[in-house]
Amino acid sequence: MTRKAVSAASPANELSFPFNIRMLLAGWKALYLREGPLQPDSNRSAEWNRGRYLVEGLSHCGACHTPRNRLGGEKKDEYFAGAEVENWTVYPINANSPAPVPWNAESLTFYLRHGWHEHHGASRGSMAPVTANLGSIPEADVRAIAAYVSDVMGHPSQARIARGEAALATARKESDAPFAMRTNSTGNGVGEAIFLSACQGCHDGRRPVPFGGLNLHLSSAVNAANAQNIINVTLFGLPAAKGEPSAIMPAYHGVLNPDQLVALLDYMRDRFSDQPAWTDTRERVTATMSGEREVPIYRMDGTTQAPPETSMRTTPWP
Amino acid sequence: MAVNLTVNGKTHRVDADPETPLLYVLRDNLELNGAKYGCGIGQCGACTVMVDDEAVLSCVTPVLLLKGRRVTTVEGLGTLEKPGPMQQAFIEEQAAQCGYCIPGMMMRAQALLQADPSVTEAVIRAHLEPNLCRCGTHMRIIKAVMRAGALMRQNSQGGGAT
Amino acid sequence: MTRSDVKNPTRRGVVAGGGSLVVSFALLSQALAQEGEVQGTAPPAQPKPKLPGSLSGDPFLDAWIRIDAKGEASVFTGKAELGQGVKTAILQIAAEELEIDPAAIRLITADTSQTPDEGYTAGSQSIQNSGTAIRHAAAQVREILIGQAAARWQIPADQLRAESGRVIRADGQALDYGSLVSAEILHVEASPQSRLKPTDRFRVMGKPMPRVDIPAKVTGTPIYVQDLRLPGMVHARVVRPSRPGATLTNLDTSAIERMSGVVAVVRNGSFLAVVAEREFQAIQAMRVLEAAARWSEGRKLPRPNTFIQSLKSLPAQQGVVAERRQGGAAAAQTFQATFTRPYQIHGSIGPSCAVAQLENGTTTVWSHTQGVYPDRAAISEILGVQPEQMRVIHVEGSGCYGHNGADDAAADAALIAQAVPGRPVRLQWTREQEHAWEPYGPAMLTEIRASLDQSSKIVEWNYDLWSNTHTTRPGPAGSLIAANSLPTPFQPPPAKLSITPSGNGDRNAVPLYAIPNMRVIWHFLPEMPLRVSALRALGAYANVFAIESTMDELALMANADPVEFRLRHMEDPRARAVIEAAAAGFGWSRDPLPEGRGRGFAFARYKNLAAYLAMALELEVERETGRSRIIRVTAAIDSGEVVNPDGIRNQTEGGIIQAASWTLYEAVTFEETGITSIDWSSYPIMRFGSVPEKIDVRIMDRPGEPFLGTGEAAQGPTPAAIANAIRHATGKRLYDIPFRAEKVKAAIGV
Repeated sequence: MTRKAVSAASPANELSFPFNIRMLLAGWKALYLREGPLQPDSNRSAEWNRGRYLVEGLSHCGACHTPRNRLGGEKKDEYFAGAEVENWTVYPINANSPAPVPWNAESLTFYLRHGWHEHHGASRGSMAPVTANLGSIPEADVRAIAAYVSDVMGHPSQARIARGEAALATARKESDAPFAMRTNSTGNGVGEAIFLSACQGCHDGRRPVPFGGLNLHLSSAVNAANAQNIINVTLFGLPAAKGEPSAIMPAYHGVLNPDQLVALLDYMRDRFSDQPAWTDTRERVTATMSGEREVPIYRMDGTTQAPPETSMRTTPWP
Repeated sequence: MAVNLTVNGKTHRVDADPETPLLYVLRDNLELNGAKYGCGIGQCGACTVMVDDEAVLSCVTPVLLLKGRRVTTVEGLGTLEKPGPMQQAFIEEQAAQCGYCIPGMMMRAQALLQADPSVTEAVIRAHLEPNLCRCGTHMRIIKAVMRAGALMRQNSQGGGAT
Repeated sequence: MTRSDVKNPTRRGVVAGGGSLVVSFALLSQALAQEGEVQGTAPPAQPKPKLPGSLSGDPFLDAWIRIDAKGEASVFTGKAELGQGVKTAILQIAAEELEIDPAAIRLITADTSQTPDEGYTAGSQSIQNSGTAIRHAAAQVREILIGQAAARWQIPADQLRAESGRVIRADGQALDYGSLVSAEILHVEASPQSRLKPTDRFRVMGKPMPRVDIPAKVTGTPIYVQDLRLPGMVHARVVRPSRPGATLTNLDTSAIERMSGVVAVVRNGSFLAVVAEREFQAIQAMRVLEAAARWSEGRKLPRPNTFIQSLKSLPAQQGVVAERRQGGAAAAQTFQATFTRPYQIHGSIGPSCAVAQLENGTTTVWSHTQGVYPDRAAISEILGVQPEQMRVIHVEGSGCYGHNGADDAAADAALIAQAVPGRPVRLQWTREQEHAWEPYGPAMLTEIRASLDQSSKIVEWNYDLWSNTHTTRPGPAGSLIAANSLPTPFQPPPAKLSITPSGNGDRNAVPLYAIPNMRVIWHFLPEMPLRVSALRALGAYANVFAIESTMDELALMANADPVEFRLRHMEDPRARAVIEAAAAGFGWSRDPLPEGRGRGFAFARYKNLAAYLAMALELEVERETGRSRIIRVTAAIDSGEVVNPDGIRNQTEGGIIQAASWTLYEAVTFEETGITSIDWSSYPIMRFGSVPEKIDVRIMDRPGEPFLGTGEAAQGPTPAAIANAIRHATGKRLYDIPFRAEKVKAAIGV
């Protein structure tokens, strides 16, 4: 056993009404609990089954990634369709994944394990603790989770694959010629000027993720249903991990006023996404800057894999 | 190109491209030494100043964003002859070794204490996280900020007629 | 060095007079062996006679102290303020012996046109060497002035006293120092003995005088080399390849020359820089220049994964550091282990910077170099001029902690200044350049085999260390990056093994404990795959880590308390005193601690010659993550006669936190293609969230004892105290610095 037995009295219930009424759980269970062990699907690989077991059970990815009804139950017919949790936007991880470069089992495995991927950026916000934890479980289990989730996402269409490759090509081109791009101001006003002067320096893709900013042609956030995640990251940054190499992004709270942030977000959506403009950006910006939308900020602990460290000794030397 | 900038209560007309980070305008154009170049990429906090009431990293703040905003640097907190409470606290606690990171620390702490001069040590520690010190002066910096808070509370109490 | 003839009978009388306090200089001859000696010169074969501290290099009193007709005193030191408080301490020393208010003294530091040549401000020797010299010079100047007054009044000198810049006689009449000085009165050589003030009469020394530089630093008053602004100044940035050895093969400057504000593109072989009117313009031009430059492949770096092991297979020269065979009982239990330390950076918060100007055939450089004279010698060699055609002036930079990029930035600036004669050039390195190009603290591998006899006393001690030299300071021009980049490059000088009392890679490799049989070998590695040089404490960091970790393991084998076990083997009474003081101050016991918490102890006398330091710390290991958190530290330090207690405390707290950061987090990372730890995201250091809750430094009271170097004393004990505490908390010992979370987790098997 790796845990010593502990003797501790359970603290009193602090839930507010009506959640502190234990008997109400019976109603909940009647609605939403299906009892019995998960039956493996014999048509699927052992890895897929293991993945489903972990995803449906211990990992409970759907707890964030599936939207909930008014009673708080997951909407089973909108499985993995995305949601909003703790004022972070949780992306769909079904066929509607907003990632420009489609995920596959390989890239998902890497991302879940290391907390970043060169084509997707760094895991942050509420996802940061998830990948931090997944970084310490057996790799085979992470593979299994990735196999299952990527199956739920389904195989991307040819058109989608082509769009992903185009995005990669654009990102590469930009990272090779950062300064031509800098002088390419289209005179598109405030948003562009802000981006070029405050963001481009790290986000041009010249320095690879996780230490460099993601080139935003590859960004899921900019293709998401709303701007909340970009608002959060821009205002509050990505705070450094404790004593481990990690992505760091400075906080721009205090630097940008609401108008400037809105202009910046509109510009980013316009430049880096094919989707129509966001409609609720100003409300979100105002609510987040005033604190009305409370956003928990997570350190980048355990979310990046350091480059090899020369003294990591695991076996004795001769 | 000319840009208007209000720093430490004075408005300046500086000759700088609007995309120039505030740090270089402060040092190069306005000859204010407090904010320092430490990394230029927002990782170390040596460039910290205040814009309106918040601490910001001046190395990632292009001046085009600062129209109508008030910038405060350490020079705005007091002078050699008349140090302000934050400066006085740092002098009394001898909270510096090489001193390079200190103005950034002071500005971040100033923003914190202006909002609430009675913060606890734990809050100060958490708040100063974006600022690096390589000399290991951390313990004294915390004590100096606590002391500055006490001085500020004292000043605000003694401000009225007795 | 011949003894000076004492021409002034009054002075002889004073020096030989009754009641004078004479300080013994027996230790100073050893202390004079400076760390960072120029490669290729042999260390002094015999102790230098007889003048105290750096006076032996500059014996004339007025090289150190001048007093003008207005009574204003100027004190000259060849040492530099690095943020360690040395300016303040020297002012205190001078003020005390001169009997002048510190505020009335003008202190001039490290300037090749004005101050004595005291080599490098390094190795914690500023107070030992410069402080000692100035103390004695000041005392002798005071006695000369008293002698002058005695002659004028025809009253015996011993009936006069000096106070507040005047000589006063019994009836209260006084003569200002200003009225007592005349032309050449201080142009006499120092005498080997001085009448020093006894400790119980100190007014300034030994008191926590506030640092003279702090008020400027907290008000933005210009004080750093980064703050220098000279008329007509331009801004420059260098461009370097991805790795050393790469040559510039192609460069299209057309785009850069068109950029706003660009004054010049400087290309000299593979040395590449751009100069612009405004700083941000220089930065933007640098980025374009980086993109436009094409480089050859350069030297491949080693493969990271096997690197530290491979230290043992690099060509090596054996140096015997210590050997002792005194027999004794047979070995009954043996402990053996291998310890490692990776490359680590200085990590100055302010990247290196210099200002240089070529005017009327003289190149002046303002730099935060630790050695204005050696740097001048090296740079003048690069420029192909005589040293006298250059002037190097020390201006403070951010903390350097050893040989960082300062000397290179000075050379870069000087070279660039040649291209824009008349205009001062301000050259600043970028963060990435500082991380990638500063010389690192060398990676080290150490092996210990130590045995206890039947009575649990250490009977045998075998220690082998593998390390590069820990100093490649200029000195030779080839030590500078710019020099290696010229069309006819200067080659870096070959590193030479040198065993000296104060040590290099072998610093503190010899334990101070009483051990009858000992063999300590430095396997000197001349080949330097990565550029290395002096980082605070040199080899002491890794050596004391190994020694003090081993002491704890031996204590465990002996079933003894770690503190008691150390005392069992320690004869030096001052060492015993700090060990006991640290343990007592900490409340050292064997009481059980809460789950996950451990306590650890360590001791070392820096260089076995300088300050003594013992420390105890308590830390907590978070099982789930492997993260360690230092809760509290108590240290006891003996620095000899105390000049500024607050300075000692500040340096010790700082040394503990810095060394804790090295130990828990820090390693340079690289691939064959280049350094990958190029900023604070890829090379994290301790932030406020990880700083201990409490650090308590106790200073031993040693009036009348010689000053002992203090600034680096904490670096050696800290990693061992941490390792010992982790061992106590988890039952597992870590041998490989840094003790990052994933490594701790792997060790404790979570």
